[in-house]
Amino acid sequence: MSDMNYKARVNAFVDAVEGRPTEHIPVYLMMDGLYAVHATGGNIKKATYNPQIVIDSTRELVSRVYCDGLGNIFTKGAIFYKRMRSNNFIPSEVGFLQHPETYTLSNEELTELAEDPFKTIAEKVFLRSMGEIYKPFPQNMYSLMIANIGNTAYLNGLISNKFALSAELGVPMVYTNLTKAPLDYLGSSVRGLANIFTDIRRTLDRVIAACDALCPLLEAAGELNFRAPDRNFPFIFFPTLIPHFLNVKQFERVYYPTFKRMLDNLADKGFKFVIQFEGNWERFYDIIRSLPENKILGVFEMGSPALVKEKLGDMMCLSGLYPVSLLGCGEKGKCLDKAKEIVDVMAPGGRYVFATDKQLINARDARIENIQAVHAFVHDYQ
Amino acid sequence: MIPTNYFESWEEYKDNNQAYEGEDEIIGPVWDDLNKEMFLFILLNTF
Repeated sequence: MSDMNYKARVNAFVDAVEGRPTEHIPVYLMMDGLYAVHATGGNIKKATYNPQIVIDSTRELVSRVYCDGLGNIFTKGAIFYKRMRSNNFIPSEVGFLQHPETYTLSNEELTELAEDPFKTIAEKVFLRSMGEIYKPFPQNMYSLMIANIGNTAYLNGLISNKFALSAELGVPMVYTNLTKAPLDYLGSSVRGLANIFTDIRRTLDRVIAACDALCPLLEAAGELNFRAPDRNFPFIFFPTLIPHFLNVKQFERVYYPTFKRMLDNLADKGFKFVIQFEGNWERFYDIIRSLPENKILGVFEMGSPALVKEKLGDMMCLSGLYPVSLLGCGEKGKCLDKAKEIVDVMAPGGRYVFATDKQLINARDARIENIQAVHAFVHDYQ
Repeated sequence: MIPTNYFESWEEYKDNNQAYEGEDEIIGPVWDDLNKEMFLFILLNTF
């Protein structure tokens, strides 16, 4: 594919986000690097130790499937987590790195987090996620150095080759870094999903104070980890976790203020975002209309295409809602019927990028022949 | 830039240690860039 194709595709994503018409509907292949490995018959475990396998598998998959943009060509290398006996990311028997329900701070320690957030993260959250750190000094220090040397080698191999591959394929990466909203950060490795809801019910002020304190750190993570010369593209990726489980009052009180503050501040600095609105956000549509306009590619997992189009279609670029389960189990005809049904509602007037409702991770998530058929249909759709 | 003073900056190092002429330009940016990378490493590994 030519350099012009690459630039045209970048322009198509930027145009869609900024509300300008695009010649074709941009097609976004939203997958983890390990999906490409698994779907093309590669060994997942080997791929988490050898980044070249991720690169070669992505090349093979994209040569077979039409797409205008990829997610980050990335997966976590396993050596760091294995070597440090991580309880945060644990390799499964086949090699997928799984994030189990875990926590590193007690509810009382949220106060410490609010008072000195980075010190608490560096000395408690980070260290407590690694079993190896409890070995006596200096064995623990040498383990960390070995793990970091291995991790750096893996990431350097992946990062240097992924940009070359993206250019070679003529397919841009829609995002290359990420950050999180403060409450999503707390609900992952800090307090865990189960604990955070108890915290919200019993010690709401403590949770809000921790979110406020985390906001500048998470904003800096998004900004400092952005390495591209132009802040207009690629976008910063925001996965979301907690809102699906919140009611409107909780969302307004504890999640939205710091989520919006981060997005406003980063938007003011020229960044754009791809936000994965996980779960069902329909009850929050009227609230999130106050997020930065023409800055967001919103990938929705659940809900009505017509409702999201009506409520948000004039202020953000819509995407998602195509059920990945259909690509995994459905007949080609049914996959195409569903694509037409969604595109007929979402695409008119622009501000639309085609994508699945969830990221592809496992080969069973989607059959390649179904992706081929659906992506070709959407690309040719007028 | 980093919303923390957890890691010793180049300026702080110079308060208690000898620095030679010209090292501000050579070492200073490298030192502070490594602090940024360490900040990111810790934060992203707690995602």
